[in-house]
Amino acid sequence: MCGICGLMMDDNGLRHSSVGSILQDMMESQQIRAQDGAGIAIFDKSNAQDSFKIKNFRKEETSDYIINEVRTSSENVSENLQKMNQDPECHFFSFENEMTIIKEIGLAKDLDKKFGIRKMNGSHGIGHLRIATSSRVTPYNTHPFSTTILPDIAIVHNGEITNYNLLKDSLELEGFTFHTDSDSEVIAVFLASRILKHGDIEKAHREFVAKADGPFTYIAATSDSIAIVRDKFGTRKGIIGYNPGTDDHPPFWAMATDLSALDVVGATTKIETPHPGKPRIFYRN
Amino acid sequence: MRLNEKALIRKSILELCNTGMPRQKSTDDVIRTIREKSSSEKEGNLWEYIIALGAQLSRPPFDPYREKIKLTTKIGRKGDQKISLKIPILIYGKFDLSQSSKDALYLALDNLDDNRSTIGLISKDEPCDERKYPHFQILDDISKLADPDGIVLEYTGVKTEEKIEKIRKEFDGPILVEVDEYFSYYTAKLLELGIDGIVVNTDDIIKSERYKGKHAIAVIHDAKLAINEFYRGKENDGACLVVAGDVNNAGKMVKAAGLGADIIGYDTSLLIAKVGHYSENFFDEEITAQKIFNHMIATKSELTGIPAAVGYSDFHNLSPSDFRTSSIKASVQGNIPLEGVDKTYRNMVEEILEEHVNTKNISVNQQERQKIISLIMKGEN
Repeated sequence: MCGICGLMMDDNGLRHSSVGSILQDMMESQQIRAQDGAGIAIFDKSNAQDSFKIKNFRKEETSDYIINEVRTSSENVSENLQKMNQDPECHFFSFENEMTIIKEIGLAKDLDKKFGIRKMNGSHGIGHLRIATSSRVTPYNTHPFSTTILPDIAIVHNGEITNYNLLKDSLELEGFTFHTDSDSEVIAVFLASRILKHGDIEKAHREFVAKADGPFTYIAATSDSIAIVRDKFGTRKGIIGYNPGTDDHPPFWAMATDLSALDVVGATTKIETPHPGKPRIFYRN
Repeated sequence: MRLNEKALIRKSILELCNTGMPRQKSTDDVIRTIREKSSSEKEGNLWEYIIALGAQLSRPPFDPYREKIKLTTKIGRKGDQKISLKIPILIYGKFDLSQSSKDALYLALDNLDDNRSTIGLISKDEPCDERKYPHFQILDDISKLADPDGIVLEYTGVKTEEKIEKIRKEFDGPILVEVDEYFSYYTAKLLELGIDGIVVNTDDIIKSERYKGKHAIAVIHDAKLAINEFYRGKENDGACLVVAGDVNNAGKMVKAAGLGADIIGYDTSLLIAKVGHYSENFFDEEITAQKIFNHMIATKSELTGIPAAVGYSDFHNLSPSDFRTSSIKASVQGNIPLEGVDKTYRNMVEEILEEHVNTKNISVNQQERQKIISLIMKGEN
């Protein structure tokens, strides 16, 4: 019973809106759904650089985990990823360019206290509240998940991908690497593998829905899109709404598990539920 | 698995790590002797040691959508040439039947197709002209190619590869090859030549020297590995594994699917025997056809039970991780997790060896490590 949320600013190119604050409100309003972990991914074009950030969790003797960050040029990405994979104490965190992922075990309000989520700006973002069902409560099993295949892909997920072992095995056979025991990671790796193959995000979502089994809703963000996708039977919730904007913030599309999350941020017009099995995608202006 | 049994497995692996001496007796046998009533336990049939792992509470099997389980299977790697089966079964008619039995079977297959329960047929006979079901013709001589929907060739070495090259140029439908025990050496080559899948007859293969002492589950597991090996580094475009032989009831069919079978080859003689009361003297074609029809419809619904209970809406999503076994042999041969520890025997060996090497501070390189693991695995195979 995880809680997920996401939003895409409809700001005609301003791209520097208070995404963090809105996401934080949406997460806190759904806190009752899950309390094991919280995380966000925010996309801000002003962060984009020629180099990439590879972040990892490192287990230390004195503390639980510390987060390391390596900045790397595109030529040295695979070398740095290989180094990280060879270290058994290292757990992959994220592969970023304009995206920033922050995640931690605990509650959403603690995440904000520690990392200042409300102060973060951008064009779009996603958030997650985790209750552990199929994997352990650790920072690296917390959402959002990204991949080492492509930078700037993040997913949050509610439900279960029941055939994830089968999907994971076939993706590993294709040569893609997994870094956690979570069934949700298979969504990120699958989408990245298909974007790499044909470059069509909508087709990638459709292929995933066709292959994945079980009850789920996920929100996936790339640098220029955000999509909410429900399983083909529509067994998990998902709702979309539109906030027409105020003096404080531009209009935006918001999506979440519970209606309360849309209510709290005023995204109460153009309400819709995504059709089961059909990705609903919003692109950055 | 009981605590003392887990300890016994651990002890025996450590013993092998230390001594490097192969076992005189398998750990399965040792466990069996310490269990009560061990003497009455049936030996050898590993199917019986495989159980399904029910869905977790968070994915209960009683969601309404799971009542409908998809069984549809496509045969063929190219989009426009695929054959669709509504039940993943091909009647595997290698043995000659009387004409009346064949007519009853053809009638039943047509009726099944009318009932949206299409299954296919593999046989040496020429396909009937007005059939509704897909017919795969077993072809010894390619000049005898009639008008089948698919072709089955028996692997006899390089000659078969030449035949495939020739047929592939003029026949667009699916081509399956029935392989022998050495399939792991040439499956990739056959797939490269454009075949659409392999047929493994587990009964024949486990009689061979190469698979002596092994079970059908080892054959299925190895055949799937052979297909996967071809697809290493690329996406599987739909090559299928047809498993025939020792898979003759719905329970075994489900377990075989979990181990990697896409389609089950169901023996015709067994089918005719199962529908019962068969006698040439009192043979009624329509009654026999109806019995075959009923049997296949019952099998269809039996096949959906386990996928639903483990949380799937598609039969083909079953994998070894949905099963558990109490037998080390079954774990080694089918790569199935052991109950109680939820790890395959191989995983356990790797972990215990790692711990042993670290505790004793022994220097072992990757190659030596693999050798030790193989030795330990061989002792249980």
